Amino acid sequence: MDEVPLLEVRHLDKVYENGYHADRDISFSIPSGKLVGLIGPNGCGKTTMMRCINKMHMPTSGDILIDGESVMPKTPAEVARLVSNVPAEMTASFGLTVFETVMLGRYPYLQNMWWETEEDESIVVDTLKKFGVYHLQDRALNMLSSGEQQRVLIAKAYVQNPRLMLVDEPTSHLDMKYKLDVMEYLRAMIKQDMTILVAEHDISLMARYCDLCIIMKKGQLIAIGEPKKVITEELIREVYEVEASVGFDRDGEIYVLPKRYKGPPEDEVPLE
Amino acid sequence: MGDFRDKLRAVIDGKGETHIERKRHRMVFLATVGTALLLIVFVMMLCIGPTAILDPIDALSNLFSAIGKDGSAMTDKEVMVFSSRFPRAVAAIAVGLGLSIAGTSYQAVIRNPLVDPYIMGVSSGAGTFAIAVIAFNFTFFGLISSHSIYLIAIAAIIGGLLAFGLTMVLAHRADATTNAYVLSGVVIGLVFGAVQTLMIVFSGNKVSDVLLWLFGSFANITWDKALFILIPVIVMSVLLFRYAKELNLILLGENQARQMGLDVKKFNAIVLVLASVMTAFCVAFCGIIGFVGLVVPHLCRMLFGGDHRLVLPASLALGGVLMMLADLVARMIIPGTELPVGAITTMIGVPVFAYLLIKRGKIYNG
Ligand SMILES: Nc1ncnc2c1ncn2[C@@H]1O[C@H](COP(=O)(O)OP(=O)(O)O)[C@@H](O)[C@H]1O
Ligand SMILES: [Mg+2]
Repeated sequence: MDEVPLLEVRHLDKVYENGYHADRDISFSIPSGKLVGLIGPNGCGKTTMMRCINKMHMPTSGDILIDGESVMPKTPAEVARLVSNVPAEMTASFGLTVFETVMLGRYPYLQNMWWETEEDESIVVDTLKKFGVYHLQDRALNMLSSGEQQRVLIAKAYVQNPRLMLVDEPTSHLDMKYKLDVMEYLRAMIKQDMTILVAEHDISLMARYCDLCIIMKKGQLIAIGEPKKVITEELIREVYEVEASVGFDRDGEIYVLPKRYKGPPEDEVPLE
Repeated sequence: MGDFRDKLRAVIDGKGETHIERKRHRMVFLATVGTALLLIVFVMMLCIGPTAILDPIDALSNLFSAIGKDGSAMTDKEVMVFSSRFPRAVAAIAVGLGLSIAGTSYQAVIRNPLVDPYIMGVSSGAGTFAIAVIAFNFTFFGLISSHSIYLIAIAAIIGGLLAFGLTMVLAHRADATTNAYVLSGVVIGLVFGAVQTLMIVFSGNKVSDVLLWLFGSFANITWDKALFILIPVIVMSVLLFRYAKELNLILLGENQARQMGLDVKKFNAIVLVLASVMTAFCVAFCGIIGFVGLVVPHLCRMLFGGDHRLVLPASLALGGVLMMLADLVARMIIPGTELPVGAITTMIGVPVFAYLLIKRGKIYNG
């Protein structure tokens, strides 16, 4: 690759204060304009890595580069204009409306102004329409369904106009329809100048929607590449210790069907 | 009532096309109607009192003639308007807006609608020290003259800030989460509350003075005292107003706010210190006046929405107006007897709060 990658993670290590080594020597880079899936078992360090990328946590060692520039010397406000993030869930909105919540995405651009500008407003209105929540704009955030809330939070991260958007388990409490819905919106948001990194447990869903997959296990990077090349039965066995069939449906879309837990270690007597 | 609110909203919003225009309209509405209400009720405070009820022109002409005289050789009426009712009204405005703005700020930072300005222990610390002075002539080991009019006030401020400091230390020793603040405040409050109870038991014939302070009152407010409250309250309020946008941001939760460029630890500490210092000055002379700092922020959110760029100025106006009205009621409702204003605010505040809880509770919980 000749051009500068949008995100480059270099030898990232994160050891928490209690000594837990959550991320180990992770290195990869991803280009601009991609939807990238981050896959791995619970506790493998996905959230930790995302928090290092937007400087919520300081890496123990290693470096994070966006457009070839390290984020380490940047101020929080500068990072906020480059990286936005969609939390898994939201706390009480205290009477803030959907419109006001999304408008807060413009905060990093406000500087010393008291009110937002008309330009901010039109960005927010367009985004609300794009995400199908325009009709909810005057409702309180916590009066919405989880699916609607998730869309609002994604809209908020979108108006932040970042280079990189981090989305942590956006569909964890959504039903099938809303899962697809969220992924469709993420897909539709990808522009030439923005990449989305999304952590998610539904591998079939990831394989179908993502341009690239990053596979992690116990704090380490196992694989990165196109879903159809990376996601194999061997990989699922190695990463999740689960037997699964990986197949293709009529449309040629990959799917993963977990069959059974690999079972106790070999030296123990199996039940059968 | 919902209908009424919608109609009121339509008036407040004006014909704004965009959200920003509507917010500007709300701000203009607040500035004009808020100022007008403050002035009207302020003049009422000058006119109405147990000794005499004047008409507004009479009250104002006495006020201006008193100002012209520079304090010497004033008539009885001038003394009443200028030296008694005027500072009393100023103190009521200052305490009302101070408690309301402190309550608004605390509620946002702690993201809990049940929080009031006394949540961090300020009131119990202030009460304990004030009672020590009132009942036992505590003079900080002779550091302050026992004749000073400021003795009780200074004791209350020191006690309030001491309790607040202990709450902060305890909360930070825990994990500095919003729950840690609330729980530490409750614990510290209980400790001071216990000391306070013991002192009341042994206060003998001073017990009525003690209770009078605890319930809160604007009786005996002089010019010196009014300014002693007003100036710090204005300074703290201006400083808090500068954080209006950040108070919105923090509603998204600490992680989101941090991710969007806010230094959350520093921000929390600054807001809590400003609000607590302001609260300490509010209770210094006037005692512990309940419910204003809890209810006014919610009323303002109901009328003007959750945006703190509007909630803060609304709290200023409504807090000032309501506190003056409460004081009017306190001194007029039973002829010849001055009731503690804290009792009035509680009697009005409880039903209003219950109403808000029923109507608006959903908005605060998921
Ligand atoms: N603040 C923390 N302090 C100590 N350990 C943590 C902290 N946050 C997460 N961990 C640990 O780090 C590991 C990785 O966590 P996380 O990055 O959240 O995993 P994932 O998002 O992949 O489920 C987990 O074992 C978790 O217990
Ligand atoms: Mg996670």
